Amino acid sequence: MSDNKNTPNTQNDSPTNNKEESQTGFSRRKFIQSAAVGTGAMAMAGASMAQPTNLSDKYNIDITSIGIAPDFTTSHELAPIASSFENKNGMTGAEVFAKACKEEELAALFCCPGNYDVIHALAAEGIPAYGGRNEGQMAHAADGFSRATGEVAACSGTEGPGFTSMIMAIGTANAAHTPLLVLASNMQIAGEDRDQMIQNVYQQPTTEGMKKYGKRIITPNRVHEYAGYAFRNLKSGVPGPVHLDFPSEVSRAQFTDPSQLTDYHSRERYRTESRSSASSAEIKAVVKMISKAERPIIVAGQGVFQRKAWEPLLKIADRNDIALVQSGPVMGHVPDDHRMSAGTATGATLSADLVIFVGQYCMPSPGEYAFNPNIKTVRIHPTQEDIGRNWPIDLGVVSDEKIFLEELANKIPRKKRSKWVDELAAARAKSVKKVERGYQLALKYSEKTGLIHPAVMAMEFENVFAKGDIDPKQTTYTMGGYTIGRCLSRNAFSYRPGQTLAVPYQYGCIGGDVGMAFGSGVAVQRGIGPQAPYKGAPVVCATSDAAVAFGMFEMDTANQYKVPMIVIIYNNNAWGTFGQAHRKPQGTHLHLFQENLRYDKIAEGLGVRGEYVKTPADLRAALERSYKLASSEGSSTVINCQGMKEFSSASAFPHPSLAWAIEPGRGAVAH
Amino acid sequence: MPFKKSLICLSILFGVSAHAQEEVKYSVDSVSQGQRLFAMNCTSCHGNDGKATVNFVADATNLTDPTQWREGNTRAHAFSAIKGGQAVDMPAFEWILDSEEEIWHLTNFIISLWPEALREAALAE
Repeated sequence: MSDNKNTPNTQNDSPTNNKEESQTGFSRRKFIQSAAVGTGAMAMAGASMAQPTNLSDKYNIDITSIGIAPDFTTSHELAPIASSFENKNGMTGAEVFAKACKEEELAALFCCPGNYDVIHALAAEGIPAYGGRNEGQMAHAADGFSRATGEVAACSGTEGPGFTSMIMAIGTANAAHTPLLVLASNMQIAGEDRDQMIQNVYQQPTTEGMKKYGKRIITPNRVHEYAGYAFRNLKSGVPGPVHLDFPSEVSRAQFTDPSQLTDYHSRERYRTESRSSASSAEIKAVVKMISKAERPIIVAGQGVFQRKAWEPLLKIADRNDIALVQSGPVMGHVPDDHRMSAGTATGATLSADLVIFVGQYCMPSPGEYAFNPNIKTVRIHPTQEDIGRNWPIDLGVVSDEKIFLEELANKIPRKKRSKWVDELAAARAKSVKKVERGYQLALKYSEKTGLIHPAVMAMEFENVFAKGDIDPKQTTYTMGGYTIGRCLSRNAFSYRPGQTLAVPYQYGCIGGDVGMAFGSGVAVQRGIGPQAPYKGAPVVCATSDAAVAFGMFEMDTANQYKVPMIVIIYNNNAWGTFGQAHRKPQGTHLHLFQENLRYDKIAEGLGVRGEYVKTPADLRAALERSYKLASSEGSSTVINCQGMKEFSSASAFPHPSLAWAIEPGRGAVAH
Repeated sequence: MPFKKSLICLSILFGVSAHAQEEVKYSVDSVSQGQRLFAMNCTSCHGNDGKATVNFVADATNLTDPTQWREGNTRAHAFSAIKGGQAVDMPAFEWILDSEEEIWHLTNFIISLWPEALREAALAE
């Protein structure tokens, strides 16, 4: 071991392996070495050509040949080449589309091989492109990138299987209203209905109900026109996924002159940045309602983040003592430590007498938010047709969120509401006390069992990243899992825009965590949008043993692209749902995994660090060590945090964290 | 169960259990307070109407039909299930709510969801 100070001896936790080696004289390292000799010169040549990442040696990972291929590095560092009609063969349809994406400043592409014409054209054009291990995870990565930045990102897969692999992620992005550009190749037009070769599927019907707009492009010379359709939808109103599929007749068509293409205009001519705004009478009406209210509250939805409207929002709250609570798939545009934050002021929301929903895209019904049933309601939304849906309104205003908030910030008078401020502060303090109470109980459970209760993991997470030496604003988090997700909802702090991503938001997806964390990691690595001040910082993903199985191989992807990630797995040997079979115990086995699986060892096999922890102290040390190494050396770590499924049993280990978070507020995943 | 015993000790040690409180009688005011608590704590599993038709939770109890309850359907049973939790997924709300008084309000609200005959029978006990 070359770095004993910073690195745990992972073999200490694996007595079986050591015993096996001592008794048989056989080890995996020896096996690999002997296998390498046996596989001949080609394999040896390949191994010797690989550039070692140094991680395997540095951290005493017992696999000798992990390395990043020289071809990867060479390709990744190549300068872009702009396509042009002046080139010998002009431009292909894929290149025309890629050029439009470049002009629209498409921020990133996440993909797996397939749809070659389009992804190669995008990469060559200079769109930052990332190739991973699974199309679904790459689509989650694009979603994560977009959630962390508010920018449009694309994902891509091959026609049949690659495309359908993305479905869960498309559904997730649709529920979260992410501006996700979904690309896929598709059977050639000439092959329709002929079962030609392989990978045939009709894509557009498959994404019905999961997109804002979709089109199978069947007329080659309209490819630029449909790029316009795509970006008009991605960058206007309420965002959502746009799905384009490309038959080869479109992607490989040749164009030598712009006149061969329909609607070949610049973006200023095929779409507008003009947005709806409230009239002065409407602003006056809102101000009047606020003035009459004693306890007003603004629910700052996803639209506030998407439109980067947090500054006027906070100004309004400060000027008029209006409570703030955020909602949506990304948290932080209402900082938890703001004096008017109601994010953890559970119960105080019930005494609010006026709620103003701004940019609330997933609209709850009365009863789903802890508000008084008779609360006066104002809703600000960028499109007219959604206002009044689910939640009855007293006033509806069609306006872009940022324009409305800026206008309101200019018009709202100063007002002190000391009773309301005190009530919020008292409710927040009570919430902290309750979380601490739950933590103390969980600590006792951990001491009793020698395993980590999920509430302990959640609190250690907060201790290290919010209360320790690390700037609490620095780290971007991705939160997933069922059992651990419910616990983390009490500790999932956020202090600045784009800081915390709630993977299961609305759609309830389990399994997008690692992919989404990778996407957010790319955003931080490049310092895009609200991530700019934290450029290069490690990102953290809290997930479960169930969820990580969907995406763990993307640690390979993270390593290749040098995105430092710390993935903390709450390992309770089961789907968090195992209790659902309580009344039909014959079904319990459907929810269980083998016990004590070593995800940390799998991580080592993927070329990243692995840590295995069973006590709160070990967990904290592992978190601190992993973060330090991620910061200083760019290394990623998977921390396998061992718990047990019985901690989810209300009768065996009663604990408040089993209850879902009260909405609106911290930990909300439904709306 | 050994853990139950330790829990009782823990409760005493850390004062984490809900404060003991005499039974709160069924009343319009108590039901109203219970309704607020229900909105905050119960709807994600039992639904807005208490019928537990939320599809992603398989094991939640239909609170409007006490004849389906397996562990008993008196007012005391309802109180006990809320306070101490039940089965695997029903949390013990003595760790979540502030007092037994709140548990009684919640109990009364749930009783209010029952069919009239069953509610009257439960209140007559």
